[in-house]
Amino acid sequence: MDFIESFLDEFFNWVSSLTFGKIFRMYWFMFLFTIPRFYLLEWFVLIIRSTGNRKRKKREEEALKKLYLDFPFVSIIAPGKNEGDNIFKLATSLREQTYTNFELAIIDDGSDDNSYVICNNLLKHGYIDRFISLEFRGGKASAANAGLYNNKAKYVVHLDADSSLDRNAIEQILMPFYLSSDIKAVGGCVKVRNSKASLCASLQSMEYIQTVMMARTVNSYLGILRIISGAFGAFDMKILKGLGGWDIGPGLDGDITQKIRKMGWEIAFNHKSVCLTNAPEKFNVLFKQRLRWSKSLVRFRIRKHSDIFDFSSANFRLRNFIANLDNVVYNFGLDYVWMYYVIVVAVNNFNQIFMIIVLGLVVMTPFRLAGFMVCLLFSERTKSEAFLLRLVPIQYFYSGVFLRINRIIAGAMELFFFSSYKDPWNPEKSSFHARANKL
Amino acid sequence: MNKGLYIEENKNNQRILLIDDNFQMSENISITYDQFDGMMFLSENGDLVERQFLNLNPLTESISYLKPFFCNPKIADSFLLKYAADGQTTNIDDSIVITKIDDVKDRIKELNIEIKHDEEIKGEREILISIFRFFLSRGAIPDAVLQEGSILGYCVYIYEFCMRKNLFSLQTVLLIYREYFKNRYLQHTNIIDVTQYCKYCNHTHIIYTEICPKCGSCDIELNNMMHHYPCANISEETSYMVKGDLICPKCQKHLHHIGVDYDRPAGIYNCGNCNASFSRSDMRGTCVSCRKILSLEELRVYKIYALKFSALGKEKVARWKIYQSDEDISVSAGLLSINSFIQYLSNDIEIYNLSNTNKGLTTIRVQGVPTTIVRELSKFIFDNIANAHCTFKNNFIYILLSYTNEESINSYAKLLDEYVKAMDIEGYIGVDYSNYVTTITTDDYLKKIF
Repeated sequence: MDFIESFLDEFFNWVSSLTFGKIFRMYWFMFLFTIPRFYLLEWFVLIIRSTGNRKRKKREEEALKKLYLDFPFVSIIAPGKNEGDNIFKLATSLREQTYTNFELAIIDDGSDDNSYVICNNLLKHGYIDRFISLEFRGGKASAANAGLYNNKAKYVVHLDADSSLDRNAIEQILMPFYLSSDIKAVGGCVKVRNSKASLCASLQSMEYIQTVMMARTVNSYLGILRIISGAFGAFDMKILKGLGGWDIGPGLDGDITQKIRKMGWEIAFNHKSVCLTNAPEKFNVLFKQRLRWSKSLVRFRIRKHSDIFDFSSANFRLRNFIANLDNVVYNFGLDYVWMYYVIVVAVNNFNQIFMIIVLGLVVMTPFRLAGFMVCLLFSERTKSEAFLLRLVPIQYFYSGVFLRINRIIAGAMELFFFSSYKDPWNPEKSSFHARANKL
Repeated sequence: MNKGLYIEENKNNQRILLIDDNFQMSENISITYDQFDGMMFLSENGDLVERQFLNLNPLTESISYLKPFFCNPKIADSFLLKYAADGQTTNIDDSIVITKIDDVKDRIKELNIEIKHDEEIKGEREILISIFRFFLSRGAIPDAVLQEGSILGYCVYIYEFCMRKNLFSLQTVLLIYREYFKNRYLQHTNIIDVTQYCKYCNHTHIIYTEICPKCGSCDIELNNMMHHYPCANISEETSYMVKGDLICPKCQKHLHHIGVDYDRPAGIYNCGNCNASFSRSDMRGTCVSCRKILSLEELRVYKIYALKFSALGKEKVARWKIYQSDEDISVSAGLLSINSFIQYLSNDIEIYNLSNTNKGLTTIRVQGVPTTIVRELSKFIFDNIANAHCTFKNNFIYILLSYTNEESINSYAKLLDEYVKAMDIEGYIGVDYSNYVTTITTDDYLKKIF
């Protein structure tokens, strides 16, 4: 108790001695980059967006009517390896869908467990409609492309095999196609199913709500949405086939989105189309998953689609440029700036480092709290997600430190060592060619 | 001598019974077992020979039991008999006739094969054991050969012939094989083939069809898929074919080397009926005989083995009684074995000696019951007499009745007598019952009834 009292005395004395200029110099990163981009801009956009709520609701209702009048045939494809145990859950959730004109295609990417037996039984019992079993593992992209073979559907919904959907998810993910004929791909809102399984899963649940549901709604509104999640996304079949389907991953979802955008088509996001997926429950597993995701930023956005930044390119489009710039700056460049910032602050204020962290948390927590409450108000699961509010005070250590360090490491590994090509997530035979062909 | 039957001696002094077209099957045959050494069917008419053979069947008929028989090589429409015969010739001096007759005689003597020429062999089981003896006397084994029209696809000619003449069923063959394998009388030498047969009619003539696992339609088409590694394109092989080269339809690159540039990860079937896609089709079987459609799981597997008799098996087949023991008959008819019957009797007598009941125990005997009606009679007993314990011994059926009285016993005895008399069975003696007892020792009682 004495220690806390003495620390609080010392802390308040230190805070009272600070001037605004000093506070700005200490927290310039937060004031210049974090708060304006992730709070002020998003809130501003949401306010603007909400002014057109009534009009948008009417347009969405009309689009839904058009959807049911057209009643297009949809193919839901779920590629995966050793996912047999998850397929039944997925098929069951699909049987509950309000939209019914669809087929479920499972593509087994060279499984070595009992997936074949399970899926074949489900096929026999009518739970799935197409079951393609690839004898040799070719990677997620080739498995997904196999799902396009002989597929006569108008739209394709790509799902992760361990996902399950809200009852109206298919209807809602198809609806934006009828808002505008320029929309050729729609992202669904991926949320965490096992959000109460562990602290790690809860923090990811919170992160998904903020970065998928909220941030993508904002990006979609601004026309700079840059990714259709691989876990749940819908595509126009003609466009997808025209592009030759997916290219080798990891990060194939971001890649296909870039390709569609570069063709000049629009993409959209619908937060009402909810898909639940299981998140890693341990930090070490999560760290590996995020390394893979983060590497794809360098590989696809900086290397493969660098022409987006080329003003002289025929593919150049301002919104694509802004979307990618935002991504590259905030999820790559600024992470190194943050690292520099942390070192400078730590060196210059070594004796007060603990107090600097505490003050930073005190300043940021109201923003984070307000930000997350806005998300909850926006969510269709406000009550069930409200328990995540208690994690707001420690969220900084997750998204501000853990994920940032992860991105810094992943970025360096990919930039200097091309390590995504060695990732076992993709078979070596494919990665070898991907690197040779700069894919 | 019957018309169409005549005996001739060959150069080796063997007496051959010659049977020609004039032999009338309806007549009683006047020759005896000892009057000839072998038989020769001279007719070329297959149907006629088959009927003649059944009258002089060396498997069942006492006058010709295990005698070697020969058929006309020109015999038509009876290939089974032709191949089952000991030889195909019409010349009594043919070396095959001479050697076969001597060979069979020697072997019967050597193995001390029991020649039951004074009893009729009628039961399926007896005929089959008789066939075993037939093989033993020829130094042969029941070899299965691939045969069109045979139920199992493979057949032993003599079995097939007998089955087609309804002398026994395939079930009997399988049951006896099982019993003989269990007792190690028969042994496998090597497996010849594995066949699948219809569970409804035991027929192996099955048409196998690839079908859609979803809707069961046979309207399916297989396309081989190719995977181009660099661009992850997967599409059917024909989409890569350009003027003899393999070119990826997605990235237009040449494919040079399988395993390096591309592979063939799957064949994909498309169903023309329900539009399902799948990598492995299901298979169904359609039985040509009963026309039932079966899944592969419903088909039964039968392994065709090459067989041999063990030393024990040879002894069993050659010397032991062909007929079932009373014990076997009792058990197969659902009756008690004699030991179990005595056990029940002892227990009941003990209970009566200890109790003060005014009801007693007795044993009804149905005398002169042939083995062939034991099963039918036991069914009648169980249907009409409650709590009866029965056994079969020396053509008597014993029915133990406990907690009974004289009035009931009389009525049961009358009922049984009327039932058996109505069957008009040769050798039937009648129904009696032992003294109605309440106090007696087991030994005394057993002496009375057996």
